[in-house]
Amino acid sequence: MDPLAGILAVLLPGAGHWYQGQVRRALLVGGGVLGLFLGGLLIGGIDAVDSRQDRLWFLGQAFVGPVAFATDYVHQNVLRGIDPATMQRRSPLPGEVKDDQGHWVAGPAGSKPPFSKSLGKMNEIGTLYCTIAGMLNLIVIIDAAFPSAGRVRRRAA
Amino acid sequence: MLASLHTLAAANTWPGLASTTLAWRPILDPLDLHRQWFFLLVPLAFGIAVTYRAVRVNTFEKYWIKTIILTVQIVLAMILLGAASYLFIHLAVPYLLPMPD
Repeated sequence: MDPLAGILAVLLPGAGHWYQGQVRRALLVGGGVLGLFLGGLLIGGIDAVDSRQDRLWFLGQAFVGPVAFATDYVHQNVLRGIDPATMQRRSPLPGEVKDDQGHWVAGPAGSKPPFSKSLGKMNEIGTLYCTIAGMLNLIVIIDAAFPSAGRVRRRAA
Repeated sequence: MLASLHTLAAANTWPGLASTTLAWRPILDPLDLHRQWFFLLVPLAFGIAVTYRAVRVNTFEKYWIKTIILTVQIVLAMILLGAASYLFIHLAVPYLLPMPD
C-alpha cells in the first residue's frame, strides 16, 4: 500500500504514479483524466460542473480532485449572479448582465451574459465527460494507492 | 419541460442562443453541436481507453494499438446497445404490451 501516492493522485490526476517513478503512466492517466474533464467543459460549458443543480453528477466529478472543486467554485460564486426577486444565485437568462452588486439585470440590446447555461444534449454530454473523468480518476487513485505486487517487484528491480 | 428544452436547443430557437453561438467563448458557452452530438461519443471512448489502458498495462509495448482496439470496442458496444434499445422499444414493447384500440 502507498497512501502518499493515493493522496497525490487525489490532488492531481497522475501525480501518484509520477511520485512512484512511473512517468509515462502518469502522463497518460493525467492527460486522459484532465483531457476528458476539459473536454466536458468545452462541450457543455462551465455549466457541466454544477454541485447545486446536478449534485449526483458532481459526486462523480469530485474525484477529479481540487480542479473540479475550483471549477464549481468559479461557477457558483464568480459567474453566477443574484436573482433580484429571490436573492438566490442563478445562471443568467439570455440578454441579462450583472450590475455592480452582482444582480442580474436586463442588458442593452445585443449584450451577452458572462456565460451561457447549457441545454439538452450539450449539457448531458459535457456533464457525462466530466463525470467519467472523475470515475476514471477513482480507478487511478486506487491503482496508485494499491499498486499490484508485480508492478512493485518490477519497480524494485 | 426537458423535452421542450431539447426541442428549443436543437432548433436553435432559444431566445438569444443564435447570437450566443456566433462567437463561442470556450468554457463559458456550450458548443452548438445538438444535431451531431453522437460524434462526441468517439473522443469520449478514446479518453476512456487512454486512461484505462494506461492503468491496466504492465508494459507499454503495443499500448496505442490496445487503446485503439478498446476505443473501437466501446463505440461498437454503444452502437449495439442503442440498436438493441431501439428494437426493444419499437418491436418487443408493442408486442408484449399492445396499445388498446
